[in-house]
Amino acid sequence: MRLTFRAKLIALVAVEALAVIAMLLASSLSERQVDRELHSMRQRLLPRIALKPQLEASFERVSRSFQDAASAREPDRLDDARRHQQALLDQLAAAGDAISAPARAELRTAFHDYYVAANAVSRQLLADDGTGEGGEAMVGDMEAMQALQTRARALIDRFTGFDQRELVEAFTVVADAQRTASRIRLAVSAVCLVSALLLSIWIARGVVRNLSALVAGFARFGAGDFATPIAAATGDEIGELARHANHMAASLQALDDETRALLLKTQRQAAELAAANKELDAFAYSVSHDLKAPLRAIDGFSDIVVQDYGDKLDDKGREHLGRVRAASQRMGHLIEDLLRLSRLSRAELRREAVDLSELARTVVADLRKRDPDRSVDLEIASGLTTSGDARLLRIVLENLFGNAWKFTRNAAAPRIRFGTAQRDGRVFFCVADNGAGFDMAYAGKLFAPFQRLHTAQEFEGTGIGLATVQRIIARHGGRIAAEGELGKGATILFTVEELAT
Amino acid sequence: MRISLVLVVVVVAVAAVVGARPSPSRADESGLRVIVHPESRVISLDRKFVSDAFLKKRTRWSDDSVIRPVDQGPRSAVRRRFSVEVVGRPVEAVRRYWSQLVFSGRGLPPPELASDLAIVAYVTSHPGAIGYVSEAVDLRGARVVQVR
Repeated sequence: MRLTFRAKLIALVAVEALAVIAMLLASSLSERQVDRELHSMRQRLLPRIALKPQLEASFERVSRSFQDAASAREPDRLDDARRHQQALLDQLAAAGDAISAPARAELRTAFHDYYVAANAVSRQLLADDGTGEGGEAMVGDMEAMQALQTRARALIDRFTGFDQRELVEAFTVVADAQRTASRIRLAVSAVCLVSALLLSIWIARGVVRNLSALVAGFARFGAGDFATPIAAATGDEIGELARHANHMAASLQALDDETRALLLKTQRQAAELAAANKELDAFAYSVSHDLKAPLRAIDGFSDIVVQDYGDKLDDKGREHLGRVRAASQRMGHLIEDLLRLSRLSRAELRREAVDLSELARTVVADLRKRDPDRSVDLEIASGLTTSGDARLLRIVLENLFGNAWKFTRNAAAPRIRFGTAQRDGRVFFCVADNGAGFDMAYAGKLFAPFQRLHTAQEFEGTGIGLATVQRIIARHGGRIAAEGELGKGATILFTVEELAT
Repeated sequence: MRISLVLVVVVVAVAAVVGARPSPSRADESGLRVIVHPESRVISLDRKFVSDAFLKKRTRWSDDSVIRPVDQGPRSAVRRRFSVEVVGRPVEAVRRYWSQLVFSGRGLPPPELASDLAIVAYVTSHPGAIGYVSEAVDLRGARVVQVR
């Protein structure tokens, strides 16, 4: 059955509510039955109990009337007896259902018989004033009358009392009703409990089975096995969850496949790239190496021509040869830088603690020695340390300080500062100068090899320096950025180890 | 005869001195005889015993046999005398007594028979019977009992 837990729980509550109502109904019905039995018992027995003293009193009044008549020897008092007898019979007739009709008839006969006998005895006693003719017969009459009296009393007792069997029957009826009531209650309670239990078990089993399937499924998914879907095809919320999970697994599977394909592709491309790079490096190396020989020849022979045949050339000729030599030397520098760049790419990175402040001071000392005429205001913050390849980081600082030294040449009060700066919540090392600066629109070109924002006539250089710096920083996993304004100076910001893995 | 007359006079005198108390000798003298069944061995009885027997307050002889009292008719002179002198109450009182017992079902009076002869016949024919008759009657074997 495809039912949600919501539906199942509602069904459970509904079943329980119905059961409770049924239980209450059964209880009240059976209790009413018990009440009815008790009521009928009261209805039957109480009037009878009340009747007993009434009948007894009336009957005794009849007897006493006869007694009085006989004692006082006044025949008129027999009328009293008749009146009392009538009252007695009326009482009996009015008793209604308190005693059964046969019992009433029997009592009536007994009362009548007694009355007749007592009346006869009384009259005999009243009449017997003479010598006494009654004799033994009269005593016999009296005895008979007394027997009738005894019988009437006994009958009153019997019909207005309870014989034990009747009481037992009445109680049995009530007890039966009560037993039936409690049985009904018990049965209904049992049905309620069992139904609740079965429903709960049904729901719980569904939950547990599906949860187990779910847990196993998620464990498979976690282990990367998306091929086997979760088998919880129920219509409840867990089934829904399982379907979603299966859907998710399918998506993950697709993603995984895609990722694998991409990874393979990337690996292939990386391999290809590495091969290409290697080839390129080898090419660049051999090219630069091979280019150096003819360059040396051009430079050497140009020199020889100047030395040996300089006097035979006019000034124009010598100037041209000088230009040839300068160009060939510049080309030599270019090739030298190119070689160094290609070597950098291949060099292994050795990380160690590096004191950048100390390193900067030695770099600056070299610069001053090479160009002792320059007066530059240098400010190097102390205690700047990082972790990286000291040899490569020295190249970085040489390039950055070299650039700053170079581009502040025309400044009125050249100033170079090495310290730290915050950008986007990160701490960068920075080398800032107040030199020529650059236009921020060309900032993207700064780090590309052989890209120059100034002419060689303005500032010498090959355009390899910042490309080298960028490559070293990238190999360390750091970041590099440039800020500047034309004529006001430039700031190079870099980090060394933050992205290192 | 003379002697007995003198005796009676003496007894009466003594009785008069003692008080109005009825006495058996007086009963005897007034012609009342208490009789019992011929086979009875009783010779004399207390007046109280006889009274109780006739009021049925006592129902057994000393040998445990049933006492069967028998009365004379209510109007007879013997009954009146017996009632007053032995039972100690007038006949009417005794009859009221019996009415109460009869109609409340608590007891039955002794049978009442109309004549001395009938009494004698009853007493001689019922073992344990006790009755009383006037002096003159033929006892036919019934035993006379002294009442003290």
